[in-house]
Amino acid sequence: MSYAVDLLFGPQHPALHEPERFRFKVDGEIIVDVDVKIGFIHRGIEKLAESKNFIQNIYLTERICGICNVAHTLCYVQAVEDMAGIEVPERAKYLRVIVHELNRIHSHLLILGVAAELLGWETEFMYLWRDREAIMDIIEDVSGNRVTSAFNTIGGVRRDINNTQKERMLKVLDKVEKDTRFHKKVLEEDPLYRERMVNMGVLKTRDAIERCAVGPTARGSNVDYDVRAHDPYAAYDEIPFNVIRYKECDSWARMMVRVDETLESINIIRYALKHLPGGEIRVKVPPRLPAGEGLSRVEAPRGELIHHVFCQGDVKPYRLKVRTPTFANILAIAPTFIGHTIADVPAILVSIDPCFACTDRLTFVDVSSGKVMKLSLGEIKRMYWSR
Amino acid sequence: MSEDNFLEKLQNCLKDYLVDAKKKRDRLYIVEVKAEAVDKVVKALKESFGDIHVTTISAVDYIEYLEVFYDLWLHGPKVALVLKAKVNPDRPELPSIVGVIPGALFNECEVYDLFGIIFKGNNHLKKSFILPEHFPKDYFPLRKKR
Repeated sequence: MSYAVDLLFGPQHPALHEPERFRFKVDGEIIVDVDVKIGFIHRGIEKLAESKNFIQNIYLTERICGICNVAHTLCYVQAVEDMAGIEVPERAKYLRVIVHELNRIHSHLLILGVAAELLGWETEFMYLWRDREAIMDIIEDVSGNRVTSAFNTIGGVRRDINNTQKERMLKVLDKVEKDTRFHKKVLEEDPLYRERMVNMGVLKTRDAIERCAVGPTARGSNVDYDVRAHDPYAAYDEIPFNVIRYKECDSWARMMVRVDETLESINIIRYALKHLPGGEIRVKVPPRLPAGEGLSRVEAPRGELIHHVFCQGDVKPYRLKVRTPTFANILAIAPTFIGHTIADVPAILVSIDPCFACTDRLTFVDVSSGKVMKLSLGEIKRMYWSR
Repeated sequence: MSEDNFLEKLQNCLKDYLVDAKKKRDRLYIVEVKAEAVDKVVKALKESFGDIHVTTISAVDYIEYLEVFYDLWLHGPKVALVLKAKVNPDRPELPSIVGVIPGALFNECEVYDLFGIIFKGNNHLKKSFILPEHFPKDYFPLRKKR
């Protein structure tokens, strides 16, 4: 008798940083189908933004995601500046790049650590998070806050960087670079890590383009799309850097894109600090802005993020649309689970930088007749576990 | 493919469906098209300019009409395109583009859930895609009026 079993992953799990529910149809250990349900943390932020003024919305958008908070505020303020035609001072653009890249390093080291932990490699998790802590300290040094940095504002940035902070930052970056190179070697060569990650969740280049994958998920599949390079914002048009791509298209490639991007981000920050122009850090902006629409896309740590603002000559936006990168990547990654075993699910899921959970309830489908039975834990025990 | 004469090429490519097209800034164009031809527009864009990345699809409620916008990125000429279409708020219907770009599936489902706009040809539209399961089925939260 052959059964396909509905196996629910999520939405609640202690290891989750975003709840989603995956319903896997499994035949034995092998996944044969997958169904995704999202929206468990839908907080109505787009609706709420319509009732708050432009300045309040900076702090609202910052709270969409704690990890990539700088990307959200940067994207939002750029959209408002685009709408109102506000020119930002050069120094502010460079400062935005610096904090944005610090945010990226901390996010990438975080997910690399989480990936190691999910594979049961707690030593590497601890080492990666130790290095991330140094970056958190710089973010606190620069912005006054560890997590929600509240650095960007409409018309510029809220804080300047002085020479002492610059030197402190360079010193920490040297150390983080050395450590990241070590981690790169470890993750490239460790046989167990490769065993769990190589050839897992293969997302072919064609599929990644068709399903509109973004960020490291797309670049791990060799898609040439990085907003910083192709639609430059802030000071990225003046800063030289490489777009990291891997040809392997698997979970391992997606993680290695993050390792290499961390190194690239360190170089971007060094360049920005060296070429930091002088002058003002912000311009004054009136509370009431002219009617129009503004659009901004930025490369958040997890991929392309977009904020689209509409205004009718008010102190508040008429509509704010936000599309976060995970929304795009879930659809892209879902079919790649098929053919893998249940134990590989975390290795694939973590590679797009989202969240996962564990079994919730069971439904049995008799494969030959298609009949669905729902069994309680007691019934399963009586049927299969009794001696 | 470069951005040179992009507006001209765009106008030639979409001349049957075009209402208005303008350049907002470097690498960003805003195009208004006829709502009933959105799928044909996206198909024509794909044939002329290569792969299309759908960043997002959403709408704005201007009370008299609903404006649906598609934020696209064209991989070929490397430009962003905002495609707009006006629909009647009492009978909001548009052709689905999932057949041309499979990656637009979640975006269309989200718009249906929040605005009640029906994308004809998308068989996955259902309420409670992103909203809670007990949310009223006839209430679309991002509309300005009920």
